[in-house]
Amino acid sequence: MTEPLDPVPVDAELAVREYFDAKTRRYLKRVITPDLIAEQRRDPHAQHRSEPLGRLLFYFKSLPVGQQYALRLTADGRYRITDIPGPGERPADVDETDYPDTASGLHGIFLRKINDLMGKHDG
Amino acid sequence: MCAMRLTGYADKFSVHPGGKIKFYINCDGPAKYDASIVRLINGDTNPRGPGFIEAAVPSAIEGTYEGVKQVVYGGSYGYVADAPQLRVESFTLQCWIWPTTPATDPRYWKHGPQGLVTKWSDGKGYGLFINEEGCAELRINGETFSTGARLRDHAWHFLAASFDAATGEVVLYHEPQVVYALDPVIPPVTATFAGKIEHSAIPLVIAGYVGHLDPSPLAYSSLPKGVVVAGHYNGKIDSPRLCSRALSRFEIEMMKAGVQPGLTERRNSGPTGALSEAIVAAWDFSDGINTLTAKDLGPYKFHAALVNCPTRALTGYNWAGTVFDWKSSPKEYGAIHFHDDDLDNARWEVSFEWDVPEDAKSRFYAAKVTTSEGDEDYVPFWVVPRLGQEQSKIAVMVPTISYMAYANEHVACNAGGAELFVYRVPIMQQQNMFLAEHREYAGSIYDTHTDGSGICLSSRLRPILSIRPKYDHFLAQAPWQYPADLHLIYWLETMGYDYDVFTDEDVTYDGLARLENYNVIITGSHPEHNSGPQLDALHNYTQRGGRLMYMGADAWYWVHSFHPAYDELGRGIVTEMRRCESGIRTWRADPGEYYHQGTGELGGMWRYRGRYLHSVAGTGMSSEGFDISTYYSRTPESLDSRVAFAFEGIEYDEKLGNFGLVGGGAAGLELDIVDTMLGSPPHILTVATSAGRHTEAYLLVMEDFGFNQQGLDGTVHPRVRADITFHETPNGGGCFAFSSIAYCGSLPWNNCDNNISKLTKNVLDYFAKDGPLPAAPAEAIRHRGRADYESPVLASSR
Repeated sequence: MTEPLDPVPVDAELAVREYFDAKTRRYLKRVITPDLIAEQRRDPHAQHRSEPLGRLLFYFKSLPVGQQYALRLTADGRYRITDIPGPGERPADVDETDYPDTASGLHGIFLRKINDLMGKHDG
Repeated sequence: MCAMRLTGYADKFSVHPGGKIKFYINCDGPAKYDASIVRLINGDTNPRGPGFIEAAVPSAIEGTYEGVKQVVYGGSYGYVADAPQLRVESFTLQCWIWPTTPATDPRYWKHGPQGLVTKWSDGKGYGLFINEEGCAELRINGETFSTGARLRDHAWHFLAASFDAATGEVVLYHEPQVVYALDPVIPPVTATFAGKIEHSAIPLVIAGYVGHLDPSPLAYSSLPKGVVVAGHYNGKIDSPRLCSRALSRFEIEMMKAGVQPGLTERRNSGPTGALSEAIVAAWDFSDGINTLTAKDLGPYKFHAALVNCPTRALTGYNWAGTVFDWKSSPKEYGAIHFHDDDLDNARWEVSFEWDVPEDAKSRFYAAKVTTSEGDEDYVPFWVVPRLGQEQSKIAVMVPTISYMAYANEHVACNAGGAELFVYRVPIMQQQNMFLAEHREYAGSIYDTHTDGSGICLSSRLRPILSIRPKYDHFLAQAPWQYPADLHLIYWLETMGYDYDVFTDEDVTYDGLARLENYNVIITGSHPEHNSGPQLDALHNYTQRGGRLMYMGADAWYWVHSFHPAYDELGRGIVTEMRRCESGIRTWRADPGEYYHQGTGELGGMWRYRGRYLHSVAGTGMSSEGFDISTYYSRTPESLDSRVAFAFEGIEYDEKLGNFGLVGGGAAGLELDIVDTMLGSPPHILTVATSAGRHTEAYLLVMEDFGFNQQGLDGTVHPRVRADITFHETPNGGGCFAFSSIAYCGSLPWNNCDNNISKLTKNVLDYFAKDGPLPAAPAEAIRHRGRADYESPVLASSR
């Protein structure tokens, strides 16, 4: 059995999802502004958001697990941003930034996700 | 905080005065640790509350112990002890498989070959495997034979492999059950193996292979003791067979049916006379589904002991979709689903044991273990009176089935939807970090296995890091379940009440006898998961004049049963639940897999077994949300003289619970409402509500609407609310429902001097009195419709 195996096929649903996500990102990249970022920073839990912020947050919340982040409570009561690990892996800090409270940590994740979004190609 | 180098569990949740409880401690690193017994009074470290409170309990176990590392060997498999008949010269191995992770990423925690049916280790023996690339593979000693065709995941495949020692011929078959239009044909692989099978004194393993033998104490907790199984398989196996010669393809086909003694003239094993002479083992997993034995119907009865409770009562390769209860057609349920993260028992060595004094008070206790380097763990348990020896007129029913359902929950690390679920980014504590890394501690019934299938079984014989004080759950960013219920305990202690405690498992096994000698039973904050016998006992109790204070929300929701195969180890070792066609589900059972493997009963929501949630204590689950809590307002019905006792000292327009340690208010997280069409009695009084005050993070439960629609959140939907209710039950009984998980978090506020505390005290004092409750006024006794509204037919005729 020395013949190479066929490559693992791509899940058809994932391919279409990427099409949808790219389309969504094209819209979101147009509406991300300093005002929108400030709106999230003012209150990460606010419910009466502008429509662009609402759509951006829904995009972020429904990202695949590999593109999500969490906050980790540190021994001294501050917070760090971690990735979401695979089975049997410890969540890894994405950098060494300490956040004094959850609100600033949540904003840190928000900025990181914006950065991820802006770096993606949208077809 | 140190890494979690101390972890432990006990052999019991409930122990009687005069009884014995054993503790199992893993001390991974430190040379010594200290142990003591404490009573736990408050588990919440929130600085706005009373802070963590424990009370030392002098005991003989108090002292310093040698630190011993103990390991959890997770992953399910079956094994048969070595036997001469298993040391075959020639063989045919065959089985059906439904693999869920045939190929894994190199970063996967147990990446590598997976054993299917093996008597192989360290380059000796034989066995059927899935290799690292996801292809069927036969191993004979150090040689491997593979089809080179990847197995499709979540699909049935028939595999067979034969070896003829006389000719050296090897044949390997891989025949998918479903073949799509563009699938290539997978021809049998033929090869030659020159040599003899080298046998060793190892067991035959189903769904794994013997990784190594380890005589050290570290492997005492593996089964068989000292044999460490590796290559755990993820997926279903059905109908494995082992014959002692190389069968033809036709004979292999005959062997799919297994032993068929009725087909042979002399009643030997069958299916033919010739084959019955070749059969070594023919396992039938449909026989004994509620046991931990995989039965061999062959001549040697090589029954396999199942380790770590793989999931059974699952559809087999031959399930036709016409029968949905395994008891009605067990032959269609001959599959066992093995998971590399199953766990039923850590099987650790006993570290110390406590003889509970006869005069021990019934309370929340824990074994506290610490090191001089700052390590710490608590192993909670409850001292429960013997039946007939109750110590108080008040009792707290500790929702241990719900604790088990949430045991080692790590949805934040396990599900990409966690952020959508809780409406914000999850915040993880040390326990979450540890559990993400140590999947061998196994997950909760909210998690999925590493292969994505739902976890439907949960054992308490393992360290459960969520049943701990000082632990905030990611859903609430506050105590949840066990530590949240300690808010109630702190309140009872502070208010000077005497009370007993008992657990769900006590009610399940003791029935009404566990309840009937108390004037009032108080629930925990979130008794969501319940057994049938427990609900029976609660109904019998309230119908006979008992009083029930329902202190939380989302209760009486899921069908649970204790797996009978563990009864010899004690009460309530493993609980089972299936998430069927409705309810809030972090995973969904597959078609035909709704019935419990342990008791055979239909799983899912009690609602769909005709036991409406609202019928137990008056209200039932309507919504959930996990951002902020709010308060209640009294309703005009709170002015009814029937419920005047509850509001003494509380003004009509007071905001009830606009404070608290869980979300900042008494009404939050998960909420219950009154609904007479769903079981609330027609005479119920809705005395307070949080209607109109919840955020868009609160959403109506999916079982309350039939089609997708907008407008289901707390800002717009009228059923997103919590209702506080009271109703009388026959013979001087009654139920008071507070209807919010966050409710207990308001009790300790301001040293228990607040209107939630006052309301609760009024109700408890009234309910705790001897004798029946005062009769309702005569005018309250009248005929009532269930919903008290006009029939739609009448309304439309106007």
